[in-house]
Amino acid sequence: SQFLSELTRMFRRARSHGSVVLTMKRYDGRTKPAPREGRKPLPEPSEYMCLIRATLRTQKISTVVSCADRRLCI
Amino acid sequence: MCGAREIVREHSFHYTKYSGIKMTYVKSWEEFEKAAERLYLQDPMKVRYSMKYTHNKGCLSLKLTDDVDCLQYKTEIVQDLKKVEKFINNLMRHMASKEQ
Repeated sequence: SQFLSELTRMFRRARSHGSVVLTMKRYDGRTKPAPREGRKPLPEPSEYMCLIRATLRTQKISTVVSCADRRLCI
Repeated sequence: MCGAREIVREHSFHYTKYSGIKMTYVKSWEEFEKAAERLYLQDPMKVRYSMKYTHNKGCLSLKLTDDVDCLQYKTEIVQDLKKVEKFINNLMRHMASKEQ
């Protein structure tokens, strides 16, 4: 919700000039990089989330939406 | 400067394969939506969706890519907004779900 209010503020600021870019990507919750050959592979993700980023000129904000949050988001 | 640009025809729609030169925009929303859904479902983890809104031009530009193929759609019509909103909702719903 903090993301949403900041996003709204971004759109308001972009009214006169500039553009807001919104990006969405699926995120599997992994925080470690993929291990090399011969080592234990990372476990299968149990839950997928949606990573959302918003950019206005140099300002960048982002948030992660999980299954439970998405009802609030939409 | 040469650059191959294939127009891939599959079923009833086509999209342009990116090979290093300027990408074209898909002409109709229906085409974009169908192709986008297809591209996303091929590998949901690889695809990213981005949307750029410029208020003083009143233009909304959409892009869905898996870094190999790229689909773009541009609109200035207010009527398209509802369709875009529905599309994003579906996309987010799938992204944040347990479905593969």
